[in-house]
Amino acid sequence: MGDFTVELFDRAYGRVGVPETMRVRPLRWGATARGGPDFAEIEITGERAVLWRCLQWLRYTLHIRNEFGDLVWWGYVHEAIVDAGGAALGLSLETMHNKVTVIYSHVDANGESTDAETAAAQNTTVQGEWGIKELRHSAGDTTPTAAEKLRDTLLNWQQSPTPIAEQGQNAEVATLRCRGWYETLAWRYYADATGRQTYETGGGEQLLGWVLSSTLIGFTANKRIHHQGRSLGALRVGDGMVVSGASDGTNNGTKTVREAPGMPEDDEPRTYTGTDIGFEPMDDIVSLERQLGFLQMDDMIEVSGTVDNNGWYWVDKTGARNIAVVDTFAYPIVTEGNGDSFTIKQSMNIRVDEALVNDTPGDSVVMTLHGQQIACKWTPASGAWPVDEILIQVCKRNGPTDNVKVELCADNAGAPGTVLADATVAGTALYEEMDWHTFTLSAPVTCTALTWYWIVISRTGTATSANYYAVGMDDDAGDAAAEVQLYTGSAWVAREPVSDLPYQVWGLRENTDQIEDIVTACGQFIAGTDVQTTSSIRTRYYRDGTTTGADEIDALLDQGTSTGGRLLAWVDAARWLHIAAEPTASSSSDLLIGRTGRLLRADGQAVARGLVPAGKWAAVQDLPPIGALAPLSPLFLERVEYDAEADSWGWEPRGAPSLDTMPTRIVNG
Amino acid sequence: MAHAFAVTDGTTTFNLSTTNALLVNYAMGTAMPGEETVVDTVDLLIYGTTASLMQAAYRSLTALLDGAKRRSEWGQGVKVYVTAQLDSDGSAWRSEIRTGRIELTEASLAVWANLEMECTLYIERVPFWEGIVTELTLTNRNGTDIDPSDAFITVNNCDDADQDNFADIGSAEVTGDLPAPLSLQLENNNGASRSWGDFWIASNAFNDPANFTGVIEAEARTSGGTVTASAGLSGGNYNTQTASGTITWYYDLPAAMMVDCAGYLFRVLCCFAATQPDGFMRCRVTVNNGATVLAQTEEVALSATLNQGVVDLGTLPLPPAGYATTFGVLEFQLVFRLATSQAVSVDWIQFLPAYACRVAYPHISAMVSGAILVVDDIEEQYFLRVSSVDYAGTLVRGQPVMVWPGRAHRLHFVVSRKTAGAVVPADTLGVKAWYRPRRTHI
Repeated sequence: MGDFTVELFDRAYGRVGVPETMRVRPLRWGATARGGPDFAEIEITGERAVLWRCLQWLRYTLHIRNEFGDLVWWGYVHEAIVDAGGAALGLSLETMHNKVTVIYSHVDANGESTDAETAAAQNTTVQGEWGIKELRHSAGDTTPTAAEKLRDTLLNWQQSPTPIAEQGQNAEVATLRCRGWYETLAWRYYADATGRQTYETGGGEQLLGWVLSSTLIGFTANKRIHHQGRSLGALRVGDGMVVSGASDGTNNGTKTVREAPGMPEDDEPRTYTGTDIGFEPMDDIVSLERQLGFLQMDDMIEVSGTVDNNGWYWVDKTGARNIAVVDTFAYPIVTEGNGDSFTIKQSMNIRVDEALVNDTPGDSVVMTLHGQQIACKWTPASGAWPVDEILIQVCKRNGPTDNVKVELCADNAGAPGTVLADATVAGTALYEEMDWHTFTLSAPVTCTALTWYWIVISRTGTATSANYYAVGMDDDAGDAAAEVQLYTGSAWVAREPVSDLPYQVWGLRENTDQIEDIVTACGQFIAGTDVQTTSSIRTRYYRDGTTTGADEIDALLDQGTSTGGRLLAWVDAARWLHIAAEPTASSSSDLLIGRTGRLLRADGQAVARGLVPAGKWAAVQDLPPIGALAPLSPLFLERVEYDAEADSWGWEPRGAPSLDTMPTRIVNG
Repeated sequence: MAHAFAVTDGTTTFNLSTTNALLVNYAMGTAMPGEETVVDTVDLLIYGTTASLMQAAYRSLTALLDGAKRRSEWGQGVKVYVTAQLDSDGSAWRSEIRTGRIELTEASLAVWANLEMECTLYIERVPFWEGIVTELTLTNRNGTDIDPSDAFITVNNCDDADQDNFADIGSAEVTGDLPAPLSLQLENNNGASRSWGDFWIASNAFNDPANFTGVIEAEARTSGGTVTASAGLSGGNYNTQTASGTITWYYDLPAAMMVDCAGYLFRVLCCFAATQPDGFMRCRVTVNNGATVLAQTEEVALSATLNQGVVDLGTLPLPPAGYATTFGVLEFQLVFRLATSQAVSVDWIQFLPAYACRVAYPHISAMVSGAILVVDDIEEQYFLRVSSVDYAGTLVRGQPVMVWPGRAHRLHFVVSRKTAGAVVPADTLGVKAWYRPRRTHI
């Protein structure tokens, strides 16, 4: 075994000496491409009474140097255990937790099961000694009081290093089990309350960009607007609209739908043509084949093909064999027998709140539905953060080919003001079913809590009832702040019923910047973050605090770089976290894998004992120049371990199969 | 005069060939390569004028063996040695006992009535013998052929045309047939306190010690930075550059230096001429096109607040090609990586043989004038001596500083500071060195 030495630094990183009465032997250690040094095992022999002092070294910094004085491993003491004879006793940081939260579910006063979380209980005095180590304990179904008791119990049990016991060897020996600093990023959960503002309750919908312009629109004095077509089927009770173009001014102006069409939207207004139709004065239309059952009360119908009875009628009495019409419009009906082919066309109608006068189709009437733009205001719950993405629920109807636009606007006296940024999504990219869609703004806009902003939704093409969009709504209006405003074409009005817009507003941040944020928050022992390669990928940075810093960083590293490269991370001996792209393989690799599997320097000389060069490339010596063997050399060393007793290395290449049955790890020496 | 053997802890001595023991035979073991101990077999006859005196003698010996075992297992207590002085030698040699045991022979009880105890003593000891402590003659420009009884030789904290940060040992100085560790005393002879941090001490035995300087002045760059004169610094100049991002300075590694280095590992120290920046740095050896990296150290963090004037960059094979003596010129690079624009000012780069390089760190705020740092790799003791009082707390790492029999040596010294700032080339050390010659067999 080479001459390896150990250096110790106390919890304030001050140098301390290893007592000369202890013989310290590093046994084995390793490093990975992600995190750097990850574990080490140190054996200490000496008088047992002295060995117990090792237990005081928990969370001490530990360095291992090789025979040339080079640092080969660094990290901290995670567990210390002393062979007390029949049993080995020690202390561990593994199960230490000095900040505890319990998550649980309970049945609330309404009898509904609710997920909840206790406030954190912590011991700041202990944290000052060992660092903060958090626990989110899941208690399942319980009561709030019981959850808090459990939290306090867990804190009492685990706030300091916890005892461990193992089978002893009856030898005067102690063992230090050390971990790399990267692992301490898992000691804390990471939360970032900024970067997200949402209201996700939905269920309703509001049409966007719907305008019906037609000469087939009629009006009846019973407050019904008729249209020979299916367009009115899209409307729902409460919809407001502006009618224009009617020859009688009473029929123009703002109308509010009080009764939606009686037929399903997809049920096309029907047309019947037959030779069985006959006309009887003053108001009857008869179908000998009993084909008129599709007509409904108050339908406006158009009769054509006759000699004397062509025109518009208003159905007053329904029936399959005969119907009666109201005494207006083309009234009265004159006798005309069956035999020739006559046609009856049904219209669709809505009932509105406002008064109307009878008027048959013929004028060029325009019905402009409220909702040419849809808007709702919002403000960040806290902080000031850049908004990059806005998500709304939206779907398409009848295949529009223009775009849906979302604008983020400033507030102007309670209405949408200056456009701060916008984004569009092609109508062809939307579904027929309501779903969330992401609008990524042209540029991030920093939004500040307590300042109102507006989300304004519109379509980029001409509004038409032939194809249009629907935007998700919460008709129950659960969020007072998100109250929807609709644009009539000339003004903003409140939607009826008062409704909220389901939305999600997200901030994005470059991934490696996020890693720096996480390290700042969770890296209580990390000196700093050195980003040598940025990911150039921007992702959402809101975090709910249910995931540890290490897991969050791993997830960000997994996304690599915008060019498809892999990101590596390691913590150096000065406790800096470095982020860099995985080096590219080249013909001059860092290392060689010799004929015996031993690691060699690129010049063919033996690698200094104890070095664990994870994250480097190693070329395989003497590999035949066969193309099929190219993947074998060079190999990227994902993990390297060193066994000081055997003076041997174990290494794992990147991408080795994870099948348990396959030997993916090579031990050499 | 007969051969004389004894077991002693310095206070109690049990003579194996006089007083209460008759040495019948002493068979010395020989260690195989890699073995850390060797076993000697000693046939003895322990006797006394009374049975109780005989038994007392036996107990005296076993007590010493128990002390040796305890020292070996616990690392505590006094060391116990077996000493041997052949009748041809003028002084005794010693070998530390790790453990031992006594076995009585089959006939021991038969001769008990004669107040004699026949037994075999098995001594497990270190696989070498050490001679008496010998002070080595050290030589440099500050003194030649210093008499061992004289004062400390002065060693400067830089190596240029006027100063030596080394001391030479003549090839005839070191005897024996095994390499031996040194006991060094490093005195603050500046006449005032010094806040010294790490002491790098290296022994050059295999790299042309008489001619190898191991220093590249920072200003001797082929490109990168600006040379600035400063009378107090090594070579009278330093190299400096203010920038952010990656800064690379280029140097020649002369062929003569590469020939001297012969493929050995060298520890590289960067000695700053001003407070170092916050950032990272490493060094590289490249072929002369500057692009192909043959070997490089890992990056180390620089800290303007924690620095000690000297940054240990780790080791590099020089050149990275195994052993040979006909190497050509290579290129050496210092590479700094700074997040913000900062000044980098370097005085010199020191190359120390890594095979016998010790780093000592006195755990005190300052060494007063006359204080002596004792780095005793013979007795494995490291402490600070102030006014003849020894204070514990000196930490060491690396390898013992060794000397090899029959070879000339050059001992190199570099001292950092404990506080932020530049290395101080004007500082000096007083140095004394001792060793105990080592032999496989006496």
